[in-house]
Amino acid sequence: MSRTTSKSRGEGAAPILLPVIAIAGLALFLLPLFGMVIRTPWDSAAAMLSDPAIFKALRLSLLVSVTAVLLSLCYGFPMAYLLARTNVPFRRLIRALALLPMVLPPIVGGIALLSAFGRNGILGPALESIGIHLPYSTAGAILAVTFVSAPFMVATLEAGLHDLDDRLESAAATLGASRWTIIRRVVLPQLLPALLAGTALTFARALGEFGATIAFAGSMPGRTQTLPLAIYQSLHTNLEGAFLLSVLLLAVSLVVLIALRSRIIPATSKQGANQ
Amino acid sequence: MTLRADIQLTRDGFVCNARFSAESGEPCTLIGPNGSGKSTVAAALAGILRIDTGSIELNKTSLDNGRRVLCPQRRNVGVVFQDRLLFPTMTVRDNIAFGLRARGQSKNEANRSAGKWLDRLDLTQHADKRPSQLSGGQAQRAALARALAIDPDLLILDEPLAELDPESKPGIRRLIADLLNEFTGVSILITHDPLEARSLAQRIVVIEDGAIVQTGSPDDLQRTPRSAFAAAFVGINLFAGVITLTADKPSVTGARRAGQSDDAPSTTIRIASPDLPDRAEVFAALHPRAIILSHDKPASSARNAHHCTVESIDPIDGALRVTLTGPIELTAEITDEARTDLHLTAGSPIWASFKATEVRVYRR
Repeated sequence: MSRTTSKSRGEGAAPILLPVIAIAGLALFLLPLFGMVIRTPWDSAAAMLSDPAIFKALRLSLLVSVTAVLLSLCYGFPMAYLLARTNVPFRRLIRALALLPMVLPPIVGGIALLSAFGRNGILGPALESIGIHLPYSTAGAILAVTFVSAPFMVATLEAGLHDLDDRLESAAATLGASRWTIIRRVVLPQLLPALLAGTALTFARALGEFGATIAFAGSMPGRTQTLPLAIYQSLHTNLEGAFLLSVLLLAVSLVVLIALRSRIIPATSKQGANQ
Repeated sequence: MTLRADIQLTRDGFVCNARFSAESGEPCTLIGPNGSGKSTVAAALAGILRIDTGSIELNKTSLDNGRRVLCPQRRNVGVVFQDRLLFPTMTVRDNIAFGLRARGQSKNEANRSAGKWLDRLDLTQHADKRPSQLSGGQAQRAALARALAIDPDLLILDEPLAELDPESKPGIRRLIADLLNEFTGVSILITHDPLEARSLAQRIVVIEDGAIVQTGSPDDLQRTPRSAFAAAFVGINLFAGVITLTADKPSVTGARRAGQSDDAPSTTIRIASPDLPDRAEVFAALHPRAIILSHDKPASSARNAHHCTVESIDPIDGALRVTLTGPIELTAEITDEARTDLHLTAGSPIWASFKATEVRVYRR
């Protein structure tokens, strides 16, 4: 009797070492965030935030991130649909290539973009001849951020599509619905949680993008200097300002996470289960 | 309207080679064991699966001939799927109106038609609910309405009662019978519920291992089942053997339960003089009610008598079904009183006898 009780307790609880390591690890992650918050000069925060330079960086960051999310949606759904619902040849290869930027160092992505769209890149001269200059422009920053963050949308939407019962789409076809009608009225409404989760993840990744942006678009205030780039610059000149901007980014990230928490957590855990 | 199907396809090693036809006004019921190809046939008819070779023709229009395929959207085939597959993000009304909207009707027009079906199937008060808020019976009615609303030429009902709780089954069974009576197109009901088949079917098609093994009325099936599954489906004892006229009395020798392999033990069954020649390969069918159980060996020599052991006793609509093992495997049907009189329990030894004239013999 007593043996079974102790056995069931032993199975129910994790070995004592695991929670200790977990909590210690979490403390290590939280300490820097906590330090950043207490070292932020809150009394001069209002003055710094009203600085037009910071306002510009914040506005640019939102513009670039929101645009990147929209572009990721436009590209991510067709790609996810291709991977999840069609018998496209070389599907595994296509998926690997589509998700490559997730594992690529962002600065390598930036260099790669330069080699394609830079002044001497593959498409650079052609684009230049029709008046499009991507490097060191806001459009270039958007391209760099999209390059790095769109795979998060593809991965989330593909996992979301796999979670749907595709026989519902067959049922819709027998009722006479065209492929577009099926996507619009059957697939997308069911995909809403995955769309929200993908948007949150992509937005969070876009907001923090640094390497690809600085390599491809540089750090020009008002044009390509997003918040992370502004933080990097103030590290050398105004450390307290860097803390304040970092806390600002932290706050934006938390807002995104909390606003979509109930949607993200189940969706991302499903995504994990699928991979 | 006529459906002619010759469905030949291979998917993941499963070979389907099913040829049958169905007429409007004569509800056709497709029965078969699990994995026999019923759903494959349904998917091919609906256009969800393509056939490799053969042909599917509805009302003289080719739906699929292995080369030219009409996509599901253009077939006008209504399907009630086993697990309903109602669209979870739409209301019941929108589910029913979906097919009409897809056919280009305006929202108002489609909703008006959907309203009629909601009314007909007693769903009006649930019109604005989501499928997840419906009971099983309500969801099944919504699925029926959605399939019928498009006024299909061919209606396929895939195990419409399978996922229902016992209380809602009789109501839905009656409703389906009524709807099929009103329906003017060709209808195909897939089931493995004998009661459902008996109450709804005018024509039964038996499919096994991807091939049609028998086609006929419920009475035909009851009288002359042609496979172990068909026999079990209608609750008939079925043996396969060979006519032997050379012995003193006509009999079926080498009789084994249909479906058993050739090395299973066999027995001899006395029969009335058949219209069949010596050595003809035949089925011998015996109704469970024709079997008499007794403790003493029956005296009459006109009877087949076998000393058996009771394996199990199961209640079936108002009677008891007794499964016997011994020199011959038999299923007998007795009343509750008979069971009490005989003190029958699992394991009891018992004589099972039946008249030679009760055995129906027909060619395999």
